[in-house]
Amino acid sequence: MTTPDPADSRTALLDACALVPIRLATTLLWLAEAGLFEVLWSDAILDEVERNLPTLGVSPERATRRVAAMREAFGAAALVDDFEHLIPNMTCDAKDRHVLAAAIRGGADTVVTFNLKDFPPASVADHGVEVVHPDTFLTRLLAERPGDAIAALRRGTADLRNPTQTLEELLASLTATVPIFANLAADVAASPAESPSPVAALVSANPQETVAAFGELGDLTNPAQVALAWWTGIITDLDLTRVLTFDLSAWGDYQWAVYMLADKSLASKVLPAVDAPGRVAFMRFIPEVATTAQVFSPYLTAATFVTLIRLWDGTWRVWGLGPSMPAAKDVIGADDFVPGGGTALVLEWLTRIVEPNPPVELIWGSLDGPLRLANAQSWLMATDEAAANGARRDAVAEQLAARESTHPRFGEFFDALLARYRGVYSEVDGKPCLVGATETVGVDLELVVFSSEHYVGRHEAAEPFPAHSFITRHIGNGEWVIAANARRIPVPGWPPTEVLPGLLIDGN
Amino acid sequence: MTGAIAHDEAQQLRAALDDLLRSSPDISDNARAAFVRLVDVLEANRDAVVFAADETVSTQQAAALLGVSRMTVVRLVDRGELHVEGGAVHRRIFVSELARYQAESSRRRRSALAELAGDIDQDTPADRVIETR
Repeated sequence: MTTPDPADSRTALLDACALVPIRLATTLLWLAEAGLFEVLWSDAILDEVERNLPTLGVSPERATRRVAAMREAFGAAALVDDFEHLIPNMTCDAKDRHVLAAAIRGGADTVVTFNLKDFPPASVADHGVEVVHPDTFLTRLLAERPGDAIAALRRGTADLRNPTQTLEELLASLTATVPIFANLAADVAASPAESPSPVAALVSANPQETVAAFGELGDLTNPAQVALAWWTGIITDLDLTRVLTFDLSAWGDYQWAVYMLADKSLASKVLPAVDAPGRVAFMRFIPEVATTAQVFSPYLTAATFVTLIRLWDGTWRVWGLGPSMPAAKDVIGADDFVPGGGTALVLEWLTRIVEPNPPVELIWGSLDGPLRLANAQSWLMATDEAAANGARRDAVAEQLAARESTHPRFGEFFDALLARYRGVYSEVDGKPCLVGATETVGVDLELVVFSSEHYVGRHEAAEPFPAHSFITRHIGNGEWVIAANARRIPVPGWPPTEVLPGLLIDGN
Repeated sequence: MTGAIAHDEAQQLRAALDDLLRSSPDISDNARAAFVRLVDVLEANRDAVVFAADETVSTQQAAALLGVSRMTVVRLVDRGELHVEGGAVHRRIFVSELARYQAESSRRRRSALAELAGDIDQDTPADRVIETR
């Protein structure tokens, strides 16, 4: 028998909402078993768990069995009773008064619940009880005793049988309820050799080292570089920030971000999302302090997380900013969604157009029918003096515009088109880089903007740089074509014209 | 948590203990177990406290030894889960009773938690935060 540390004496009453999600509840109880905190609940809370489990797809019989196992596991040690006389004195939300009364009667220092709003500060201040979100609670336990917490999770995970799961798989499933804990625990588990606390490893005390830790300047395949440049832009040049933002519509004039990041610094450590390590990553902004080496309290309370998403071309963009981390499925969509399938096509197209003999089926065959026809019509009007005869020139234009054209003048036409495209996209120089993200401009249409990697993420403050719009069209089965080399869709004719694409977005 | 003695040292101590105990057949099984247990505890923990089995502790001390709050010890005593000596004011608990309770409750806890974990299978819907009532 051993004498526990003072830190072991946390006593937490778990509210029903924290015990209903099965994986979260089991995780909490594993940590209680390992002595990281003492668990308390009441009959009323356990009854509420049993009543609500079916909402999450657990059969009533299984719910009964499950709650019986919880009672069995912690027995009389966890079960607070004789608190009813305290209920009338409670001033929190009426339906939660029994929760607070049980916490006080049981000598709890913490109530763990998702319903923070039902426990206003004034209702708990006099009782020496703190009401915290499960994510905050678990993250504190992890920060206090990282080694013990991870060991307890590993031991518990070994009990998952059908199917067996790795610790990372379990943590990925926890991002739905406690994302900060899940991602930080994965980081601690992946780097056991680092400092005993996950805190110190996140922030370097040496400014030079800090800068070096962000990697090569302007490398957009490095999320740390993207976040650093994005943040630099917040302070000096919002255009730079906009270029590195995934969805501009969520940010407005960025004033709320400016406000949120005032007096904060970006910690260099990149945390891969445990539920989508290659696709989503997080970095932390922490309050500026004189010595950053051993920051403890900011880790618990004042961190602001920046969420980054990796695009299909391997470069990263800033997706969001806030006090929590989203689950990866909320960032990339529940399905295996590849953003902008048409964007990959344009990337390939712009990369290969500079080749000496680019494949005709890519450069020409990737163009949508109306764009091919409009190109043929323009060329005929510029070169074919016989284009005056309406019926004949329509037939020639259509033959030239076929995807696998066999018209005798097609070679000449294609060479001219290629030369024109190469001129238009000369400054891209075969090194295209997406600017911002794709935008839906029609039912099956996406607008994408490309510049050269020479400009994106590196341009000087307030200096405009060349960029080119493309509209891509989804033709089914994940296949895309280029519908326009501009923001307007071509309309064949003599001469061809252009229209804005189909959606009347915001009435325009 | 790192232990007071490293794994290598613990192994050496176990081997030495084994030799000594083998050459002293009169030592009781309980006493043998206590020696072995002490090495286990010191390998896994920073410190160990040794009590005589018939020593008694206060509810406050019992709480510290069990790693629970005093309120919880009071509850356990009130419900007869922990047996006490003495009157209502100065209740004392045998250390051997604490050891029994701890061994029993951790065994029970382990098997119940394994059952809870067994509830998580491929058909279990994803976790989600709901408003309970």
